[in-house]
Amino acid sequence: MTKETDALEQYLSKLEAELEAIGPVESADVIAEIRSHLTEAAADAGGDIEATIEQFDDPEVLAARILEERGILSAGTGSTLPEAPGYAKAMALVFDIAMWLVGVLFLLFFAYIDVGEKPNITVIIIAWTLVTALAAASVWWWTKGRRRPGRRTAGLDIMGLRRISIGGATRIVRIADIPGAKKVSNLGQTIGVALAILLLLSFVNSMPRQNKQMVATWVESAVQESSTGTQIVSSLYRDVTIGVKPGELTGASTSQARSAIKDLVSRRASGKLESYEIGKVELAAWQSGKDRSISPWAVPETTTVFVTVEEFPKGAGGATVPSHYTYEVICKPEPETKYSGGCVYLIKSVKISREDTD
Amino acid sequence: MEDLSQWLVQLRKGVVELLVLRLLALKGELHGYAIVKELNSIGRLVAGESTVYPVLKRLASDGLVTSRWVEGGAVEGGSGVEAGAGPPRKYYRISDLGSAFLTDATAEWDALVDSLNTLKGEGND
Repeated sequence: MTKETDALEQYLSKLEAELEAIGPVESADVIAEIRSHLTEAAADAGGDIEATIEQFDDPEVLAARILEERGILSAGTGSTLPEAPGYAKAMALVFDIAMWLVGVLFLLFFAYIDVGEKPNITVIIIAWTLVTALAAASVWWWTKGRRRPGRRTAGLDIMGLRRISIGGATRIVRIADIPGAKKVSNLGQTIGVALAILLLLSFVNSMPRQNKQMVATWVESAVQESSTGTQIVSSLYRDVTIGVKPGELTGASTSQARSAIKDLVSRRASGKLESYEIGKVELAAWQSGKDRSISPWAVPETTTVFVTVEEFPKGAGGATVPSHYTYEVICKPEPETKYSGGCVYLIKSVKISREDTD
Repeated sequence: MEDLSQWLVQLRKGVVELLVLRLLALKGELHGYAIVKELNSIGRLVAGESTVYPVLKRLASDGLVTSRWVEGGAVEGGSGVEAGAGPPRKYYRISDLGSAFLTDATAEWDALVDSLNTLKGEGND
């Protein structure tokens, strides 16, 4: 586009904006006629369209005179085009606010950050700075643009309203009152807005619930692993009690576990072990990734269960005082496991704290 | 001077209609730019675009003139204005209703001028 056509189009755009009140058909006719006039006047003046436009009446003045002749604007009393009813303007504002909230909440949803058990302060500060900057920028843009004549918003469209300029003043009128303006069906737009709001609300509502469910699944899984840790230790003692040889117990265990089992077996063989009782079982921790924080998005790599066992030695007469052993059972999920949180359980290490009265 | 200029504005508003109809009655068919040029060449009664175009709109809506678009500019042909090269133009022509109105309005105008002249003559006496 050349500089001359830019100037012409700018003038005609302003004129068009001022003529919204007479409707699109008549407005287009006026624009075409003024374009023809200016083009011809510029040709007579040696092609200088900018100078021609300078000498032409301002678009606001020309538009005001046309509106006066059409009876839409009165020189003394202003516009005769009725302003839209107050309830309609209020409803349009409510819809616009709702759409703005939908936009902000959608962005918050996709930027959702779960901070876990030990929140990272730096991440929180950066995240909230971005969120508040985004909210401030969107409020500024929304309030700046909303009052411009000709600017359409979802709320205005739904309520069948239009913000137009008449004689330099801006007012909101019903589209039905603008001659020749097409009445746009708002049903589809209204349904679309309502569905968007409902969808977002359901997302936002389900988000913490999904997290809670995920955490609940993890806790349940941890409880299962605790009991499985108990079963591992219990079956170990049972096997030892019935006389299974050490070599048969150590197939899937680490060297630390093997030495603990050998120690247990020797106590059994030496006759010192009369009976046993599984005591406290405690889920030590989930270890996820490199740190110990619980994250709902990460699968635990290991789970540690402490199982306490009280061994009752054989004693001659009197009450026997148990010895306490604590086994640290570490469970690790295997890739073939088809259940979430499932483990192939094995004693990877054993810590023994022993208090005996020998 | 301010009162005089205001009065002239009001006068032009009333007179421009008559002038436009008279012009069209004399010239046959004219487009907007030509009408503005002709009116401005007449004399002291300057009529700008902001006066002429709104008046043309009203005359058209009242049925006193008819209009048509001639695409691609226009040239004077044997049967009047025909399409040529250049920007499209909107041509106006006085209607039968407009001619009748012009006749009546001119008679009223002449009567008004006679009255004014009569008063002027008496004043000079």
